[in-house]
Amino acid sequence: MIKLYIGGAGHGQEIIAEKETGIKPVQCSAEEAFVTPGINCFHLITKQILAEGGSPQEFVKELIGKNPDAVICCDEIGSGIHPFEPEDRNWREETGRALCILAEEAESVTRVFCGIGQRIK
Amino acid sequence: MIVFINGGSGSGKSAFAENVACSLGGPLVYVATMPVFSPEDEKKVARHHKLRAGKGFETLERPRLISGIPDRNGTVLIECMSTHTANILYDPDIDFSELDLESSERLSPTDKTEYYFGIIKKELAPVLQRKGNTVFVSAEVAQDGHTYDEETEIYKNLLTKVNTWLMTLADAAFEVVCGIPVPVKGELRV
Repeated sequence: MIKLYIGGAGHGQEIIAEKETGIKPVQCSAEEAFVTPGINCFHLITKQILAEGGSPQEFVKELIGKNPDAVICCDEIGSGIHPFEPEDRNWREETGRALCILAEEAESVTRVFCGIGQRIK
Repeated sequence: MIVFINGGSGSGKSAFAENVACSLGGPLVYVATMPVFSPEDEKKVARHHKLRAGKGFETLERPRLISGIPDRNGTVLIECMSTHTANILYDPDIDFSELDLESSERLSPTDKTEYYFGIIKKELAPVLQRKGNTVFVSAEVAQDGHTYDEETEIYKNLLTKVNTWLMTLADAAFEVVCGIPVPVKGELRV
């Protein structure tokens, strides 16, 4: 089952993920994510999907089906000032919604704060 | 009881807040603070309508001051304080005279923040003194590391003050992360 690691930029989610699972998360494209055991910077994948006119929420449903044991790391990007550009607002919200779907399906969700992982699911 | 729910954009805080309100019990009132200016706003409102459809909320639109909330048992859900704080700061047509406060003109940024904080505390006093439950939804906006123009910095500081104040008043508080309510304070009595 999916293991999700989230945290603010640079808080060390990929380090905790590797320590706990033995799988090293790597940055990859949306297509590569279907076959990558450890996915890093998931927020950049949602950005790529939106830039290509796709839906991050549909993508994660497909990802859960095709890569059901993935370790996924993502920066939390939804706690800043409402972005000026509509694309940035949409990216922020769509990433949040996609993470809700992943978290719902995940076996565990860990929030990393200053290098400390807090298991919230 | 007072419940405070915070979280980032798209974190699932609205859905959680509605469930909390429903479990606290009716009659249920939903105070919608968002003014509608654009198709993007309309889309957002439509999404919220759909989310709470069939749950039994009576909706009160309050795009300016939060007033006229029925004083009775049941639960009032106020969504959301981040929008409301922006309304208070930026809507030139809000008439603050009923709150009996001096004008904010020529105040320093710090005094301006205090002035608007005073307005929000004053307008919410009747809501907080009601018999029933109140659920506040807000948003976290101060964690992107940017320094903005003076007006936006006032907004950031003001909202952080409002959130901290509501956290102090709350009997129970949660931060919603990826749809998961993380308890911060107290517990729900339902």
